[in-house]
Parts: sequence; structure tokens; C-alpha cells
Amino acid sequence: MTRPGDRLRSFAARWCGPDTMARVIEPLVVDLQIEHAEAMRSGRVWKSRAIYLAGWIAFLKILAICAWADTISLSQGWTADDRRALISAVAFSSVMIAIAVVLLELPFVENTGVLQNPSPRRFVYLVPQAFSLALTVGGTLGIVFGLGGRRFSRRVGASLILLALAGSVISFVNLAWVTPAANQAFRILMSGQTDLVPGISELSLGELSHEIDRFLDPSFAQFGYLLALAFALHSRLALSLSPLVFALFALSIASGGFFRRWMLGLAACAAFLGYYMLLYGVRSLVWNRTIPPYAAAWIPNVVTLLVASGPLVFSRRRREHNLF
Amino acid sequence: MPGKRPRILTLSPKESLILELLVHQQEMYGLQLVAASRRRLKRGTVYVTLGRMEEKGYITSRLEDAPPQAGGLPRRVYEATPLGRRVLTHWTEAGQVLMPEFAR
Repeated sequence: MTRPGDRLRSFAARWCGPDTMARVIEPLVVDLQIEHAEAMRSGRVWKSRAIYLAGWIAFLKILAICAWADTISLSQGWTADDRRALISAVAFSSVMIAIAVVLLELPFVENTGVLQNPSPRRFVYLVPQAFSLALTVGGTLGIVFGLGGRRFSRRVGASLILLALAGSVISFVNLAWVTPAANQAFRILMSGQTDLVPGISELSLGELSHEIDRFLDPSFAQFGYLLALAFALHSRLALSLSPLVFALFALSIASGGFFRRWMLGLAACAAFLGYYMLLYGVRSLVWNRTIPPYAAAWIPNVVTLLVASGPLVFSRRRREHNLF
Repeated sequence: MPGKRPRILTLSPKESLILELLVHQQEMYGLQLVAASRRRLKRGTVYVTLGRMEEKGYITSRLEDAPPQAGGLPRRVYEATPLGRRVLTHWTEAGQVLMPEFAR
């Protein structure tokens, strides 16, 4: 029979070390179980529920404290190898992001006729459009080429995850407000008109959600405009998380130390391709009304995370069984 | 080569409270400490503080025999060490000298 706290303990065992388990988690769980059993024996059902809830709150607090202590310990004791690995990954990422921005801007430059009358402002307005995607692609390739082929410590991995999280926040700000404003400014500059009605890609996140509220009337549903708005909103949210998702993917494939750099680079490129094919594939399912827009927008991130978990599980099993 | 700097023994207000309770009651387990502290200790932080104090050597713990009806893990009970008792005494004295208006 599962007693209250058993699940809590097995959950904690996955994240906490044996010392933390013995000194912090297990005393909490045992006290919770005994207190809960005493309340049940004396027939105080509500008291037992309150104990259970208090136990969970205490447990979450402990996990937060342990996570904080881990963060502090991660910030100490950096070795020369750690520093070299981090600097290498960050330097590679910066270069890759810059290259990706230029490469991703090229099709827009060609399609919109910027080259016929080039001006620095026209190029600048196109940068935000390419930037979020470049952040994901460049960041991932930077991690893969910066770390590829060598083992790295938990400190380096955690620092790169924190940097990727910061990248996701920047990407969110870019996709939510900067890119729509830049798109609108670009179109005004190109057409010379100032009274243009903004398209979906020129609406900020707040304006998008306001438009969705306006078109919630069922009589508009047949035009599919609501679907397009909803998909744009959710895909911007999902895309802004993609630097973090792909950083986890890159760390996962680089963590084993058994792939060469070029193989990791190929795997990362295949993942980008798969991600965007999936994103465009599921979009058609939204228009067919097979799946809701929010599910379609988040499917590529979920699939990438699932794929990323594969190498981690494989390398853990390999370590456990001393394979190879 | 410079020698290792000696460790300064410090006592936070929570650690001081736990030591006071343990000196007074001899042996206690986590929830007993929470109850005896009249809500000054919380169950979410008491175990972390106890773990830290054990590392510092102020307290020691042992696993109590599990009650037969519980059928689970044994409870961990804590006791103040001689070092913990000495630190508490000196800390309290220092507090009385440096801040007599707050001395009990």
C-alpha cells in the first residue's frame, strides 16, 4: 500500500543526492507519515488532509532551497576546462547567431526588393524578423561546435541552460513587440504610405490577443481569421521558448561525448529541419480544424524535447551498465 | 604557503533556537522542534537547518527504532553535541555583553 509521502520520496530521489535524501527529505517524509497516521487513527480526516498539504508545501520549499544551494555550489569551483568549454560555446554561438541573422535576412532582402534601393534602415528593420530564429539556430550550433567531442561538467551545462533561458526571454520580447513594430516600419518605409492597416505579423502580442477577443463571435469562425490569429499568438509563444528547447537538445546530444562535431552539427540541422517541417505540417491541421491552434504551436517543442531525452536516457544507461 | 584560515563558529537565530530547544529537551525530532518553537520554526526549513547544523557539528542525529504499527522508515531524532552546547553558551554570553538591552 502506498502511504502519503512515498510518491514524494521517490520523486525527490530522482533529483536529490543521497545525503540530502537522508538528512532532509526522509526525516520530513517520516514525520509527515507518522503525523498523518496518528490523525487518521484518531478519526481526524480533515486534520490528516491538512497535514498532507502542509507536507507537500514543506517539500516544495525544501526542493527550492536545495535548488538554490545547488546553484550556489555550481557558481563555485570552476576549473580551467569548465571556463574553456563555456567560453568556447558562447563564442561559437555569438558567431553562429551573427551568420544566421545574415543568412536568414537574405531571402527577405531579395523578395522585398531592398537591393534595388538599399539603405541601412531597410536592413535594420529586417533584423528582428530573422533574429529569433537565428538565436535558436546559432545558439544550438554554438553549443554543439563549442562543446562537441569533449565531456563537460554540470556547471557548464547549467550555465548554458541559464544563458538559453535568457535567450528565450530576449526572443519573447523580440517576437512579442520588436518584430511586429519593425515589420510595420519596414512596410511603411517601402510603400511610403503611413496609414497601412497592420497585418497579423505586424500586431504585437497584446494586439493579437485583443483581435482574438474581437473575433470570438462564432459568425467570424468560417473565415479562419480567428484560427490564423490564435495560431500566430501561440506559435510566437512557442517559438520564443525554442532557444531553451534546442539548447537542451544540443546539450543532450553533446553530453555523451561519443559523437564527433560534424555528426552533432548534422543532428542539430536535422532537428531544425524537423522542427520547421512539423510547425508547417501541423499548421495545415489547424486550418482543417483537426487540432486546436495552441496544440499545433507547441507540438514541435514537445517533440524536440522528447527526442532530446533519448540520448540522455541512453548515456545514463550506458553509465549504469558500464557499456562500451 | 599561507595556512588555512580558522573557521569562525557562527550561529543564526534559527540555529540558536534549535540548540536552545535541544539543550532543554535532550532529544527531539523535526516536527517536535516545529511545535515547541511556537511557529518560529517552519516545517519547510527546519530539516534544512538541522542538516546544516549537523554538518557544522552542532548537533548529532540517530535513527529511532520504527514503531511496529507504522511499518515505515525510522524517525530521525536530534541531540545537541558538546560543541553545540559550548557555542550556544558563548553566543548567548557574547550577545549579553554586546547588546545588553536585548539580553534575556
